[in-house]
Amino acid sequence: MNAGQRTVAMGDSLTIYAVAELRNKLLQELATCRDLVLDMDAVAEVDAAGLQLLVALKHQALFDGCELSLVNHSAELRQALELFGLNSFFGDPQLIPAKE
Amino acid sequence: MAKTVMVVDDSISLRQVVSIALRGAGYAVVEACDGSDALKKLGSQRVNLVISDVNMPNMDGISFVKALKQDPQHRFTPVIMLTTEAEAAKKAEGQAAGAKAWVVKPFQPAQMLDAVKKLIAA
Amino acid sequence: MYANDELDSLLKVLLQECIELHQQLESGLLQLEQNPGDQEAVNSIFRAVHTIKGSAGLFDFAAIVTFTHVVESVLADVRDQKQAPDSDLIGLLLAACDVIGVMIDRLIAGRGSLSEEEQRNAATIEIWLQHRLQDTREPAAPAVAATAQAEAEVLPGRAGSGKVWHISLRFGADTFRSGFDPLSILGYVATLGKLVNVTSLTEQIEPLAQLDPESCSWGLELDLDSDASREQIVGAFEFVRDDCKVTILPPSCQLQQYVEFIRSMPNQELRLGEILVASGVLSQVELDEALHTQSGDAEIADARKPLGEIVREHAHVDGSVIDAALVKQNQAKVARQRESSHVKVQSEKLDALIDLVGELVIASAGANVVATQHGAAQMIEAASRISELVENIRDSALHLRMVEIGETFNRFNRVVRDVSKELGKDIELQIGGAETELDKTFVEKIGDPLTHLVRNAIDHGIEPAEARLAAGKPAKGMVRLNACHDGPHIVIEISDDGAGLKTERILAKAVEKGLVAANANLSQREIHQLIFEPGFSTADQVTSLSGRGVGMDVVKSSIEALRGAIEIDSRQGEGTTFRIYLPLTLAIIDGFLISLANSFFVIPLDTVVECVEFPAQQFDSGYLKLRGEVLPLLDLRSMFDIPGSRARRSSVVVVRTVTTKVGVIVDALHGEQQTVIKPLGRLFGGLRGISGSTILGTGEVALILDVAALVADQTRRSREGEAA
Repeated sequence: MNAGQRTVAMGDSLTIYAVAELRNKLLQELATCRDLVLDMDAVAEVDAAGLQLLVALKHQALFDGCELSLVNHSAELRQALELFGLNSFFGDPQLIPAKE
Repeated sequence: MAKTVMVVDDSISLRQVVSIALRGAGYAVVEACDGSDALKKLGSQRVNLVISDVNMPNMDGISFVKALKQDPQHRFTPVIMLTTEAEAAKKAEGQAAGAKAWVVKPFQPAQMLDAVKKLIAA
Repeated sequence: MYANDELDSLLKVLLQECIELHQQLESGLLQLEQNPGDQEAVNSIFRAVHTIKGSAGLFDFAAIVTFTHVVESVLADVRDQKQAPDSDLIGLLLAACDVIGVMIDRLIAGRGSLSEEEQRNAATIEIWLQHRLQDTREPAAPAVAATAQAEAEVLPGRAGSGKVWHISLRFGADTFRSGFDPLSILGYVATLGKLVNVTSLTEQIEPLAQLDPESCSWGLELDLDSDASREQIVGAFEFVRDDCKVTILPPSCQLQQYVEFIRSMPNQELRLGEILVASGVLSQVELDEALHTQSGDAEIADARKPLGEIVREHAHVDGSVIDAALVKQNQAKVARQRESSHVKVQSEKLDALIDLVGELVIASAGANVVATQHGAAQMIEAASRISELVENIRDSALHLRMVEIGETFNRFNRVVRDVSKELGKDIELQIGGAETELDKTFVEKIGDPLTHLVRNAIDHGIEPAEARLAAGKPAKGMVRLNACHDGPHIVIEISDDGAGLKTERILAKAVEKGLVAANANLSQREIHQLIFEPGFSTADQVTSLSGRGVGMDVVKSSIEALRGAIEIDSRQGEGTTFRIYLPLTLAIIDGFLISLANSFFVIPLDTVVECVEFPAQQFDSGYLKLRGEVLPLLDLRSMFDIPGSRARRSSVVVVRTVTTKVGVIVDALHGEQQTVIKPLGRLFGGLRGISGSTILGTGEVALILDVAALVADQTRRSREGEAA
């Protein structure tokens, strides 16, 4: 059991087509660490299903008492979060973009 | 990254009109002349939106949408059906098959684009 | 489903409407060409095309629907001032108008499809129209923003802050599976204005372990600062309505303006719902739902809720707005009662009525005769009262057939435009007396002769610009169509300010063709009349317009077939006026009844000048001297081989035609008589001098004299007599 921090790089698609697979993968990751960091740099496609997955992940993390943070938000993700008024939902330092 | 729209219609002129309007609005366009041609061209290549006529030779719009919605590669792809007012039953059939958006023929390019924008951002 | 004949009659009405709309379209386009800023013309054109499309759609005339749709789109651009109606575009639209005309013609002829060539032409025009469309659409003009702007103009004062809509969205579980993405929908809403506040309702999203990631449980509360109409905002959720619960609260500060807007609307009768939709308080979809609820409630509860109440409950429309709309609705109803409206009647029905009225006129005349014979004063009085009323009925009935000539005249805008373009002449068409009314039959039959005369005026009448300038005239030529009432006639004038008829050339040509003797001594008027002789043509150079197989003789005979006449007034260097005289109506005339022996004749009363006693000794000359004037005499007895010799006390009825006066010798005068004209039938159709027959109140048949034809015959005979 590794109780330390774990960083997972997300793929390019955070959409309805990917959420079923991502759900299983993220559940596994969450079960194996106490501090999950998602690197969102590669996320090029995002939709509401993808955002819903992130919200559900956050809920699960709170439920499990696990830390969750998102880093290196891609422009697409930032745009989507902003549109949905979720800027502060994940409490992440997303105001500092990974790159522009 | 430009979003891709597939236009399926057996009328070349209509396809062209729609394509011109879409390209003008910044979308990439793939054209197909009927349902089976569309499925062949789609393959594993996902598009962001499908615009399909109802009455077409070989494979009509309804069968095409049914096939599309059963394909795990494409089942969440939004579909706009091009219907005519006289095809109320077809519209219901298309909706049941999974085409939840429609544009009534004849339509103006702006109407078409408006419908597209309601489904996918440019 | 419609029964077949029901469908047929519907179709007829529809096609008739299309013909009218097509004319409206054409004249509107010509108007727009004259005055490119004429927004009213643009609107009228747009409405015409839109209605043609709608009607064609009803009957599944796909070709027309598709074609008119393109035309409509281009016109929408013009209306929204995205395209200027330059001459290229007007030309293109006129071409499109012609295609629509051909399509309508084909439908009327019962052959729905166009020939291959016509189809190609139509397609070409369509492509060009599409091209014009793309010119404006290709730079991805934000159509929505443009409409939003237009909407904002409807309600001035809506600009600025304080127009925040609140939108509440609860997406259903199937949203994603149906292909919808709330993110895209929100993105679309953002294009309608400024999203000032977006709240995602994330509480009901399950933790990941329990989540079905393909089911949607998203909710949104939005505040949108937007000038868009309610219709537009609701439209954003058009496709997700089944998958998503949408509640829209309008900006409350606009309600007062809605009230004002409803009050400011023109007094057309509008249903309450339509008023609300038009004023933007409600969208059509919401209205439909409200209406649906209304009928749904009726099934459950006895009492039907008034629509206003339902709308108020369901759509959060402020009560004051509804009240204003209700007041407006009542006003519109009152206005409607005062307004005279049109009723469309099949022309056969009208003809049947007029036939009956004709019989009534005869019967009433018969009753008069009988009453007079019986000599009972009360009876005579009653009969004469009835005749008076019958006369009024006759006038009213005939008036039903009267239409204004303006519509016919307006069609010549196109003729003048096309012909003058073809010939490279700059010509203006002036129209006068457009409100003059004439029998619908004339309107239908006068079109061809008028066209010929107008073409002639442009082709032969008006000189080329250089010649005009040299003659000190303005370079722009003028053709004028005018109509007026002149006593018993309707006069239609076709004038031009061209070179006038060339008398010498006409005479030379007539001599060359053997129409007159070289040494004949003819007045200028007589020479001008020669152009109406069969086979006469003076054009030095045969243009594409002449040589169409219609000569002036055909013009003349078609006018005479309408019991009309044509005369020419031409001044060299100043121009020519053709004057067409038509009777007011074809069906019934006031006649003057005369007889020779046992034969009765009717002379149209409007041609009768006076009656004088016939001085027997003067007859042999064939002339009568009347107050110093020489009057040629017509001897009906010899013309119609009437047996017996002249009565001892004969009379002369002095009759005038357009050009001259003659005296008709008769045995007895019987006075004025209402005369219903019955055609002679095919057997006697070619009979000259008789235009029809009528049945008298006594049951006798009387022939109606065609005075103009009789005079013409007489003149010709006397001329031949001189020549011989």
